[in-house]
Amino acid sequence: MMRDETEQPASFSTGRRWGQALNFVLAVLAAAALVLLANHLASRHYVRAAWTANADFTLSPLTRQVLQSLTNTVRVVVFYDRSESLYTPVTALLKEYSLVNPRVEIEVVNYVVEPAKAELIKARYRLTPQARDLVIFDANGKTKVITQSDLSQYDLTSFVVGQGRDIRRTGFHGERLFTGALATVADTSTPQAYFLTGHGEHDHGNSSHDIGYGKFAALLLDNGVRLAPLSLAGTNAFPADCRLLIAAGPQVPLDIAEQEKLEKYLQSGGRLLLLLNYTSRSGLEPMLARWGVDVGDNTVIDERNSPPASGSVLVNQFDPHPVVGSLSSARLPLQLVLPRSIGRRVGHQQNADAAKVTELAVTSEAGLAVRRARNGSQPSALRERQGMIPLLVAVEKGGIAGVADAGATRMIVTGDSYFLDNQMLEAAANREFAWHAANWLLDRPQFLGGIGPRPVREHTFTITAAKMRRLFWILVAIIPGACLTFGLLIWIRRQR
Amino acid sequence: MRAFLTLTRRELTSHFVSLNGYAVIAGVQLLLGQSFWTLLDALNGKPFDMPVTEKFFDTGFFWLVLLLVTPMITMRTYALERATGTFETLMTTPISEAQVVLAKFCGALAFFVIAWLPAVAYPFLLQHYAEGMAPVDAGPVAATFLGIALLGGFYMALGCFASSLTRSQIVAAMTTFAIGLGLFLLGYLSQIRPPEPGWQAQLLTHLSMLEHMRDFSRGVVDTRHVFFYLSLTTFFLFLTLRVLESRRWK
Repeated sequence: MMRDETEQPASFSTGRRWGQALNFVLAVLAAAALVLLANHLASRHYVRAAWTANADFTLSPLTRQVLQSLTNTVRVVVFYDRSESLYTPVTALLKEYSLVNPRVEIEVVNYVVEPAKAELIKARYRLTPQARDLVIFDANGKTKVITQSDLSQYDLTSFVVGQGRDIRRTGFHGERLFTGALATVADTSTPQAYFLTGHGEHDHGNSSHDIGYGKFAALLLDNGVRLAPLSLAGTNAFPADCRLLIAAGPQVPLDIAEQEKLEKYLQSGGRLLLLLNYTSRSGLEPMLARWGVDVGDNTVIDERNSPPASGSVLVNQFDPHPVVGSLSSARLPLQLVLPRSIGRRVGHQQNADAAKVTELAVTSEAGLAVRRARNGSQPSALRERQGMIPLLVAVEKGGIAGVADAGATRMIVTGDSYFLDNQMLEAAANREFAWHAANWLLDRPQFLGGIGPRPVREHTFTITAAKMRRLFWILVAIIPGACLTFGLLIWIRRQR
Repeated sequence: MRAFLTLTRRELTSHFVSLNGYAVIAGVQLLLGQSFWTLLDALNGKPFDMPVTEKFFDTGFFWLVLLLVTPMITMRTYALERATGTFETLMTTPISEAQVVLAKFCGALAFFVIAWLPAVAYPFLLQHYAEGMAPVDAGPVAATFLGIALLGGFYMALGCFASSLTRSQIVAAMTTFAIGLGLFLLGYLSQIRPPEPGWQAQLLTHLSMLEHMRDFSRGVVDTRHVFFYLSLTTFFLFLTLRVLESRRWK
């Protein structure tokens, strides 16, 4: 058979060509596999470098520590409308969490565009029908919900003084709250705390009465602490599972047997939150003196930091102790009601064997301790002390500062108990103090502060109409026009 | 090396010997300038939550320009050579195919960078004209342009690959645009309809160019993003090389 002379013979046989094609496909697949593997390795070993001085997305060492300690998956549901101003900072911050530990799984549910999914989330987490703009942390069967109002710190100054109606958002509490929530849901332990009863203490089961401690109890429950009442009367012994005893404003002195039980509990590494107020008669003063704590029989006022006719004292001078250090750095005050002085006992040895007593907060230099005295049937007040007067102390014995140690005794004694009641818990930074005090006493450093609010940077610029017009001409006419003119000149020159 | 440099110079200057290259740069600057001005006009006098430069690279304007310009630069790299018949001449010169691929890629990337270069002046122009604006932070500006260069490198490699497959510039441009848009939309869709947590969500986050660019424009240089673009660029250059080598089987 004659072959067409114009037909080009193939350089390779069909088999060779198929072989080449197979080689091509295999090479491409191998290269693709290499790319995948290389990216997988890169995603496990990476560096995030910040080329900016305003690195407000870097996480605090405490948050990194909490994230690195996570072993179980934590599901974070961002239940948000994307148009909300906090949506971007919330998701950006959670993304950083997820980058440090991929076990933090983020699910974004926009309740505006995904109503069906939103209903499922509401049902799953038993949210109210009105619930919106929340961040939900879910792990180990525990959930923690953070609302949008918790996340912001506002500057009310201009509003309060009547200079304007603007309430500016100045800080974003996201990292502190998210890290706390993460630690709460990831922590599989549920420490047991007891409220001492039988001496006229604040009622931890009462959320409606002003002086009840229901809100404080709810704060503890929300943070994974189990609560129960405890009576030490008679033959009742200290429960073995007691990780924290709260004595909230006892009005009747503890009897000798109760005091002995309490002393024994403390000597064996117990934890006590003792809240005394100006009417408290706990009978514990001699025992506290042995621990190096001096309880004043007085009432403290601070003319510089007392709202008029309120009877309360704003305290903003803190020790850098873990319980109050973050309040100091965030410049958040405590608001106490007619506190009594609680300080380090004069002559108390601060050596290695003795209890370490730290005065957590003091009044300003305008502080005044007034001693209550009775002159016949008439009560009278005597000036006892003037100057910076301590109001709260932390006592630690047998532990190394900052190191969790179950054998160490820890105690916080406050000169007021009303500041944590239902009426006052939300005032100033009282809630933060309650949170930090409980977590320090429970040896949960991962819950402690050190994470202040991130400043909210508001960007703004103003360009006058004339300058805007000039900018328009530069951006839209001069720069592109210059490129085109230059090209035209080159082209014309080349044509010649 | 000299052959590679000569070829790269040839590729780069080929954009500037005709009016086309200047028209492309002018077009890029017109679109970027108009977009930037529109954003400034919208934000003027109003408080907003991120620096204006960061905001600009988070808008659709930036991506529109990027997706439109890339095919215009790369469509000619191989397709034009094939159409005009200079391809065989080039491939019979005593230089390796790898050098040809790299030179064409570097030439295209250099042109891309030149086309975007005037945009570096935008933050400084804004600072000059605006009142009450914080000083320009050079770090995020540098990181942003590193991101643009990496993204550009990837799209250039993709465009070179598409151009190597055909002799029609239009087909090459459409292929580049379609694949580029597809990859962009993958990230965009994961933003507007985030998937359930799991490996799919992690994969989409890893692929999301929007997320990558958001980091770069904040001044965050993440080695994962850098590696992602470098590896994909290398992959598409490798594919281009294999396509060029395949002419030998015919």
